[in-house]
Amino acid sequence: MKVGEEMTRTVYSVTSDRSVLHASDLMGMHLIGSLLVVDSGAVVGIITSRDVRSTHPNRIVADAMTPNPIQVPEDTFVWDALNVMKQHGIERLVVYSDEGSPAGIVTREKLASRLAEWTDSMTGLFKAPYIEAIANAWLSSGETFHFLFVDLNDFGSINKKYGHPVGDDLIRGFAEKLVSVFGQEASLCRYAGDEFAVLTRNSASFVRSAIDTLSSGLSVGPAKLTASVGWMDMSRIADRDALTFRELVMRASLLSTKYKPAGKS
Amino acid sequence: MEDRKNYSRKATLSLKISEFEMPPMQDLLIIGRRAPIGPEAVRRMAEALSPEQFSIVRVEHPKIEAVLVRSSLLQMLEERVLINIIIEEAEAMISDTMVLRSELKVAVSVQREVDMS
Repeated sequence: MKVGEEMTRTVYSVTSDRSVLHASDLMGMHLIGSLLVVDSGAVVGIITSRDVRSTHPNRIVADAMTPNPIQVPEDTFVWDALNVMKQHGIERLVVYSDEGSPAGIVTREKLASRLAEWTDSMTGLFKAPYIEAIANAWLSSGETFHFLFVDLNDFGSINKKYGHPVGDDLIRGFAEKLVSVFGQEASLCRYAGDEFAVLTRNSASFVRSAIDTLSSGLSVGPAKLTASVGWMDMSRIADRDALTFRELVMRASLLSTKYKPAGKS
Repeated sequence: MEDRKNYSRKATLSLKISEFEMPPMQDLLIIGRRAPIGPEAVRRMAEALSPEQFSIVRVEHPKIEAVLVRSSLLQMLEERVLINIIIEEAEAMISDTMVLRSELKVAVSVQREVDMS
């Protein structure tokens, strides 16, 4: 789930004083769409097949390249790298190794298609492995965060009473509510059928107020839905250093079950 | 066969020699957006031929990408004023694939009056 696993490791380069025609020939020879521009061992730019097509072949690479390309370390999460690309409106990112040297290139297309595999098609939220990867990274780095396990109450009976299309509408509606409550700062996922998970580094007071909003429920036509939330505040967990993601989910899901309305859990 | 006996090939050489102007680009080069030589190549060429005497000024213009200017001109006139004049005069005749060279001289005329008393 990190760019190091998705990047093209074979990096071809050209110096900035070579002609665009030479860069084009190199790309054709190696069947690649971009070259790093390296002068005296330092990355000074990136030239793509689009640059080549729009520039006179007699020009030097320095006059066709994008200077100072955005670079990210190998351990950057795929979704973070994709956000960087969106922010800067670019199609390629240079990935550098721990030693600081260029290790590879990733394209937006590759990351987007990889990310689509981890996206829940019904809600647009990510699937469980997404949360797992982030939680593991935060657990190992000792970060303080909140983990919420959200379980929709009595969802099975809603499906039986109103039909599955209404149930699907409620799932989608609840996902939208999660996004509106937590915004872009939190990591949200549809963990399983009617279960969601949230990772956030927001304040405890924000989380408390978010839980109140989520618990207030959601209506689609005559169908009404409430949710139970298991909340793990990592700053209050004594054995947090030994905690695994599996244990985190287990405790939070048991908490959400504990607080389900009587007779519903 | 008879014709072949009279066959000959000759080459005529014509040689013109003149002094290479230093620098060859005079005072200004106006570089089109799709010209065969770009601003960075022009800057490197100028730097190699006349170190520290020329500056590249990149401009926002549909046809013109940059102007190479003799740095001394930028000391005499404000960059914005100078570049605006150059663009105004060049844009009517340049296409985006061209590089124009130009000579630009600045003459300052001063008239002062002093009190005779």
